[in-house]
Amino acid sequence: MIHDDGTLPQEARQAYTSMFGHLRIVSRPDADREIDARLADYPRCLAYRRSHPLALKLFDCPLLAQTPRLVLLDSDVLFFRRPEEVLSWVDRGQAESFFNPDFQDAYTISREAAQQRWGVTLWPQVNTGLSLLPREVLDLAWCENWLGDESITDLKEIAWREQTLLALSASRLGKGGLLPESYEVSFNPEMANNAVSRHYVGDMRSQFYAEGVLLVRRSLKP
Amino acid sequence: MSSPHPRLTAGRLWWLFKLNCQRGWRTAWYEYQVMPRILQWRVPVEFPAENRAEIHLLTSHKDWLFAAWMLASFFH
Repeated sequence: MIHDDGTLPQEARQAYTSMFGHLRIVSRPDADREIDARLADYPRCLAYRRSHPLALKLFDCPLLAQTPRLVLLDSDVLFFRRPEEVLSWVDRGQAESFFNPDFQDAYTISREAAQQRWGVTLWPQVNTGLSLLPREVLDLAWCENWLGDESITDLKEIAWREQTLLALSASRLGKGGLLPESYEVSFNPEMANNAVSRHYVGDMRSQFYAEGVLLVRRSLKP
Repeated sequence: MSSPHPRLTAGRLWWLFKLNCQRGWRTAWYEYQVMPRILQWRVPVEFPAENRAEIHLLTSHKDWLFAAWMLASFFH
């Protein structure tokens, strides 16, 4: 399922349909109609969703999912090997959450503060570029509560807010953890030899072309 | 909302020139020449409807080609 942030051109819709056959593309107006209604009793969640496109990842993906679990992928991730751990998670059918392992805690709140304020043992180094989630990981009442906290809503860190909330949500349930390091997120000039995937975060965007696309292209030969 | 294909004015051409000098012409070549080639790719097999776990992806006019590469690398 592809979630349009409201700017997706028609050309992209046609391309996705030609390339991947049946897939659902959710337009922003359709998503707004459905999700706004679901968030009606959660004003902070609604305000956050209206203020930042990454909030669609947090709310729309689980709320619109038609399966009990979902694989959430960022567009700047590439796969170089068969993702056995992902496929095994699909087969196991357990309500566990797994994430890309980051090289840092990219959160708006410290782990100590999360423990102190809500009794949540926040998992370290969660990166939501590749997330395996049970739908029930999203608890709107908890998100509403967290969004009332000054650290969570710090505007300087708004790009990390969605990641913080997903990490808090999964940590609260306490089932799952991080994928192996071979699901790489790093600023290293070259990826590890055993990399299954790489998330080209931040300034690594040029490496997406020069390293990632170069390798993927060899195997795809489009 | 910005257009996916902004008009090529003299100012924009100058901005693009400076951007490409800064990031390197190899990167520019990949962006303009290699990235669109993914559009010729087709998913190799018809996947049965997956009722255990869906794939979800948030995308935009800026990164939809990246997303196409990502999905192709995943399904391949």
